[in-house]
Amino acid sequence: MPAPKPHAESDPDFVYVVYIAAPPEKVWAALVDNKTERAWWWNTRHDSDFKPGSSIRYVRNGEVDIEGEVLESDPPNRLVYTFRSGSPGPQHDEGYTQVEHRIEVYDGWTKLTLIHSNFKRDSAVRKGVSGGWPAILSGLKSVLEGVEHMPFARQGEVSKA
Amino acid sequence: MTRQPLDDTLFNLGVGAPGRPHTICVIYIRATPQQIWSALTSRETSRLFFHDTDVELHVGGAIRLLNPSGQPIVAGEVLAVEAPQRLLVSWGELSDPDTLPGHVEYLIDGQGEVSAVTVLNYDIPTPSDDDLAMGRNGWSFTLSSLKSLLETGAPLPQPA
Repeated sequence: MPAPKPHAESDPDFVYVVYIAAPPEKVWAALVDNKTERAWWWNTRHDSDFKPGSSIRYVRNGEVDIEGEVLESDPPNRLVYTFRSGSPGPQHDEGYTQVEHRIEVYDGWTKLTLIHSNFKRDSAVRKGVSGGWPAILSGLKSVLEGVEHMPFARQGEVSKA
Repeated sequence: MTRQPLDDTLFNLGVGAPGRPHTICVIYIRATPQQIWSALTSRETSRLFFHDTDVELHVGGAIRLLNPSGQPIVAGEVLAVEAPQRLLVSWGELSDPDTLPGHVEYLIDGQGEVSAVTVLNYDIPTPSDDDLAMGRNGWSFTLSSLKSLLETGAPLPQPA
């Protein structure tokens, strides 16, 4: 699958940056963990071998929340995949968006940039992920810095349709 | 990255917000709103993760950010204060006196054991991609460092 086709009228990319006191390799390992139901990702397990051309699925409670295809995988620097809601509804109907994780060394720490792109105008997916990514990536930072997982109270879920 | 403002419908901007923000940074911190408020508004703590912040916490009060040698680098006025949830200030960069002051707003939303901290930047009339990237990277670093400080006791080291 090629990168998703751009929409004629689009919402802006969603960009989120977080700095983590852990090396890039550990950030990468957390992102491509395909064994664990991660509490900080709402008990989601990622089902993928993270090789270009392979499928990727977010699995939670035995259901596929999100499905897509890995477009680029350059450990520990860059991971790009397509992203589509797995359950029927308006978010599924928007088709594939694109997720990119960029991992860089920053003054001895790690800068993680999330770029979620290719939203159509007035995208329900963008609204959902705008609430979800800050919570997920805040949880990732805590876990990698040795802080116990934060129980999430009421913020939006990344794939909730 | 386009130059459109981010979607503000996701966030409670509060009464008196000066306009649409061009930068929104959100982070979740395992701390109470009061702990976060104190860290942002106390000189002793703010200098650990950001800049020494000297603020008079009443409407009309002055806010100054000082560099490590005590020279002010940002000066403004408190426009709204609702401890420990909201602080809105005008924000003049003293290194760039020709630029009109912008506005910065902190919002703190307690959600049980975790609080959401949002920083909004307003009023760069036509932000360039560089302005947006600088705002995003700078505020993200500040909030990341605040989170590390409150959760682990150690802020991120300030960039050289």
